Amino acid sequence: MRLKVAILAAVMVVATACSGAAAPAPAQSTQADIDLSGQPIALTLWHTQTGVNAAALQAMVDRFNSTNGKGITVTLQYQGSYTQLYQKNLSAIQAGALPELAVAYESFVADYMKADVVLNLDPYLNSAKNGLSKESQADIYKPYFDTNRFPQFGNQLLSFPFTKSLLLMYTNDDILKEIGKSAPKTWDEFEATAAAAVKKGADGKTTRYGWAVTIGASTFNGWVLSRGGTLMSADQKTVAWDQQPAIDAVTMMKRMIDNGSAYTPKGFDYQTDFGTAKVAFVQESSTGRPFFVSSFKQPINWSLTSIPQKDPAKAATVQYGANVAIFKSTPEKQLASWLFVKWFADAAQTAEWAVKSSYMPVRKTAGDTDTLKNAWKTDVQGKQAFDQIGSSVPEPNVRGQQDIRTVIEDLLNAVVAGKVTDIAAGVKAAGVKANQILKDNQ
Amino acid sequence: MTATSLPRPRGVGRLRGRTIVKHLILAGVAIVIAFPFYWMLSTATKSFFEATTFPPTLFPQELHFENFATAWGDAPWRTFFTNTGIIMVIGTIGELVTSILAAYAFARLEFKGKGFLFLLFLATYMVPAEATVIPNFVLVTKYLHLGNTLQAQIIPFLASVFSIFLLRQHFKSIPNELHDAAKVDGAGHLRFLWTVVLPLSIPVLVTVTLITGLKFYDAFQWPLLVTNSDAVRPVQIGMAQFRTEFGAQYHLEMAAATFVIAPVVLIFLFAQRYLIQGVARTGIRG
Repeated sequence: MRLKVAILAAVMVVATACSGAAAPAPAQSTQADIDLSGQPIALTLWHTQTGVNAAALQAMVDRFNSTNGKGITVTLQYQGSYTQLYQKNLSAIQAGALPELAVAYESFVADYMKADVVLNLDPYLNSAKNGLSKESQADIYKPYFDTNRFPQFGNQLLSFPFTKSLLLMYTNDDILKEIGKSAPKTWDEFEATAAAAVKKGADGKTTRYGWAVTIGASTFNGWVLSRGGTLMSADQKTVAWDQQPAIDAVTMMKRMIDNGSAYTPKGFDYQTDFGTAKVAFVQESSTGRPFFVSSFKQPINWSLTSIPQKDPAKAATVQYGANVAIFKSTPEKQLASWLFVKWFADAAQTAEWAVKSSYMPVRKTAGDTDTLKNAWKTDVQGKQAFDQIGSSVPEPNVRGQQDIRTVIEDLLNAVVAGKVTDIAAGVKAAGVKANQILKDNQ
Repeated sequence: MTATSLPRPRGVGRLRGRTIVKHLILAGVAIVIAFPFYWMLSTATKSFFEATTFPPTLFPQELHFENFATAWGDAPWRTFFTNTGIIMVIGTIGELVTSILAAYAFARLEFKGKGFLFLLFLATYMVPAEATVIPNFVLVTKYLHLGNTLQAQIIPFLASVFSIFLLRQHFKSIPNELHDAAKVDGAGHLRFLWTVVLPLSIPVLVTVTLITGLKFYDAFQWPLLVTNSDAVRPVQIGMAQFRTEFGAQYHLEMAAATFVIAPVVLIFLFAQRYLIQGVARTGIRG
């Protein structure tokens, strides 16, 4: 008997070794590979969607609940804006009252990791039983994986793409036609075209601007990336945006505001201004499309083009949007949460979500679905945005990034208000502040 | 009978001029106060385009009364209003009870350390609410297990330093002779409070009731934090339904604001006399 056991053990060791040599074994996790018994599993997902998006999300979740066949029931719970959701999660960490899933920006996830409450999704992603095949993983845009991998935490996959979009340029084609210009590809062309788009009334007041500058950290990051800059150092310990590309970008912004070809709109006024042809260009998230369209008094010809670049052949813009994080709970709930996230990222679901919410699909093959193809017949700009997903670059996902965003926005506002006149010094000073934040958050 | 014109008293013209100026100033202030309400109603009946266009239109070009129905359909308002009603009524009564008793004790009872204790009470008023949010959240959800309940929106606010202070100031102004007379008639503190002090304090009680009621009615941050489902959430959370990170539906938001604000305006119109009297009697100035 002992001999039989020894032989069996030896065979198993050899078999395991052989299979390992043939192909790299996926990361093993007993928790990612367990079977769900079919017993009811209740999950809660905290989100920020309202109105039409909330209704669409609810309908999809209802479908998952009725078709998953594993007894999983997801309950959606609206938790206000992203900031409110973030604050609630921080409170819930203290109280031990976290949900199983929550929508989160990368910087939120990094902060939640202070308490080590976020589940590493790598074992689930690579699980032979419940994960995604290599082909399926390759179908998801690489930048979406990049943004959810956290170098600060051993490059773990700590969240999964959920509501993605990218910074693009809303371009009024009618104005371009009127002034005899084409969509600018470089920043120099952009500045010249925006200046040419300016119109003044008989009283000398500007009736049409070239560019509505929307002040925001993400927009700033997009400018830096499009000018060939990077946002973080290779070791992720210091910022890298405090260099010449940022100085050039902010200087150009200020110059265009000062010479009257650009202005800073209040709130969401840029949507109406664009819709009523009071401005030729707005650089904003691709997801804002329906709001822009609602503001058109009469139909206009417009496009979603890439933001101007230093080198259009190497176009880069900033990736917007939130992800979904799974919090550590029981093995059953963790797996059930992963199965929901996986289902939501399937081509059919991500295409449906993209059509209903105007976010970008997370998979390339979503573009082959009838759902998106039919939608793009009327949402031409949606297709234009989809074609540019590959150029989107994630924003930093280090701890402290949320505060760094404030530093950037303070800088931009100070420049616009004329409080910072030496832009190079201002950018450098902001970089010093940001690096101190990073240091404090190590 | 002949009509004789009486000589005009001296100074009447100056007086009339002053009255006109006073009325003009009051009319100006009234317009400043009323304009936001007009703007809300006006925007509530505009199309999305007109509501967001610049320069804005003072009068709607087309009236879109359907905005009210759309806004009403966009959130479970019936549930939200019911919850707010329950929270407001129970919370206000609860806070009145604790505040009246505490204020009476500080105003009329003598006990060791009274002054210090009152100062301590006032000192807590200086602590910003933001600093207590997380400890309160942990207490309510982790230790009291009241997360996602109506109680969680009431219990933490059952004692208010401001209400205690307001009532104490008024209770102190009630003459001691009344207490002495009540004592002769055999009344204890509770009977004196109930039969003498409270009837003499109606305006200030109405003031405290209104301020407390409004506090519960306007609550947003705490209910959002401590609740998860619409079944227990109040009206202010419904107002957030019309905003996204990419834009706002101002016309629907204003339509919702109209029916959310209506009960408060009605209550204020009926009770404003008491509110003004109450604040005036306690010597508090805004």
